[in-house]
Amino acid sequence: MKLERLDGPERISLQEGSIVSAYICLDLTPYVNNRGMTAITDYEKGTLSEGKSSFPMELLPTNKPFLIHDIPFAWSKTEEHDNIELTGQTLSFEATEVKEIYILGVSSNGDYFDQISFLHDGQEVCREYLYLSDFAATTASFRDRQALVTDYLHTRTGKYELVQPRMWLEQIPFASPCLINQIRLEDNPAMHIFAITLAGQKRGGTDGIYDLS
Amino acid sequence: MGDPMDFTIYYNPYHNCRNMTISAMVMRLGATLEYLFGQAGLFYKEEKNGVFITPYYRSLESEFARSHGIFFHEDKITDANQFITHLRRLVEKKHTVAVMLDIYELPYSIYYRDNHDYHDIEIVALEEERFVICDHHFQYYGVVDADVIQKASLSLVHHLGIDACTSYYFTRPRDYTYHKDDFIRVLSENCQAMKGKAIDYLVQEAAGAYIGLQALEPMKIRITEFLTRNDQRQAAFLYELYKMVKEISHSRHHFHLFLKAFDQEEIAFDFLEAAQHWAVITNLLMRAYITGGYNDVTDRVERRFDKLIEKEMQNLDNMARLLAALTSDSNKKKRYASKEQRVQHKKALLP
Repeated sequence: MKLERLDGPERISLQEGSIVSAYICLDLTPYVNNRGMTAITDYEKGTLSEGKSSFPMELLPTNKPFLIHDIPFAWSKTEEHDNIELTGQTLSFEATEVKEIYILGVSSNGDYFDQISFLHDGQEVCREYLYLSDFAATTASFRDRQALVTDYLHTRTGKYELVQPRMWLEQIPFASPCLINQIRLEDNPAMHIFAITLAGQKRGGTDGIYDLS
Repeated sequence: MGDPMDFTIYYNPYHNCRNMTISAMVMRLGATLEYLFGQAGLFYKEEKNGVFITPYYRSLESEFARSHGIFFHEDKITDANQFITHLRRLVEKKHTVAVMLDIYELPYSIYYRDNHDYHDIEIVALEEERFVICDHHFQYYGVVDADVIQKASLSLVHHLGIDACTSYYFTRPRDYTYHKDDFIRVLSENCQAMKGKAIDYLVQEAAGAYIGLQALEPMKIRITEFLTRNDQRQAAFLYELYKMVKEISHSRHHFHLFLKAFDQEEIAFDFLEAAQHWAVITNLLMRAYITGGYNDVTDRVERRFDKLIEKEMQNLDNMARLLAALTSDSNKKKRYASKEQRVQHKKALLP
């Protein structure tokens, strides 16, 4: 899996002695399996909910990366898909010492949480809860925070202005930095992840910001 | 009743449209919602034409009257014109009125002219000849023609077999203060229900039923076997199953709120987890219904059932422990009270 370096001093956040920290946006394209954004011409193709819901693409950030609460994120889009519907996947990436994880996501048809495991070479390092509020909710139900809101929702019948869908920012802090190279998700089809950014660092040197592209 | 514009939508994804509408209506009467939906048992029975699964052992109507001082009034009127007149009259008398409608006939719904299904909305005011409605489930607040209400209520009679146009409303003649004894009663009944006791209206249904924890394994087997058979002709059964399982999830969610309202945060979270497990199964059943991929979800449903069985067992233990602690406290207080009385009595006997 490719880790993408984000250049620019504002995105290289900390320098602690010989260790440089950075935000690393994971490329989730190998794992996306659901469509949560649609253009107005394809409004009926969303699959966030059984009512064919999706975020209107024209109202979402297009720059790469884009900032949410000063955290950089990048979409992972393929021709058909743009988010991970949780079906028990294990996401693999280059080993990173992670201090915090930021996740952009939503739940559909209610607010959901489930376990999320962090692993190194298949061994569980720690386990946490991932909380994501309903995209139709107006306030977060858990510790997650509002990341994005759009003026309307796309559904099977077109623009649906009665709901202003929201995407939520979930921040999972670790008690101490963990060296991990995998994230295991639960099988929970109501939960959707659009982007993951690690606040991570490579051990052993100031030149260690990942750039594996 | 104030200005129609005072009415706000009450959206809650943990209610079906009926309970969402009811919640909005009784909230206007001053009821505290956290106390209303505390029932969280489990009852499963095979029936001639399917299965009956419910987390509830008392009807909402009887529970409201018994424990909250809220009274339910239902009206069934065959003549559609008279029905509209009846609705107008109630709204003029400052009631808000719920109406059972066919979603198929609601132009603002995303299911308009798509499929027939029961749907409840609340009429909150009149605007000349038209009704001002809150459709809480679809988060729609607006004005609709009387014709729409008439057509949509009749459509239920014609397409879904109910006997007459149906509406209901609530009254609450006096305030009712919910207190700790009510909490203990609900906790105790949920505990008994999960231990296998048939309560209230379920007593007469108990023969051949699985109740409480003992229902879980048979339910898992029934549902996974059904999915494995992959009989697409049984889609209607699957949809009913979905709705019943969803209600179990809702019951755990609301019991978690109930527990939180009485400061039982820790055990409340366990019930929220149980609600999530049930909800995941619900969502998988809906996925199977929509896609026809029954077999695709069988293993996933089974795995989630294993997690929820563990959680439900743990939750019953937690409930029993909490109940024992609370009733022991309560008994201690009673004992101390009688000891004081004894001391006073002895003092009174002293020369």
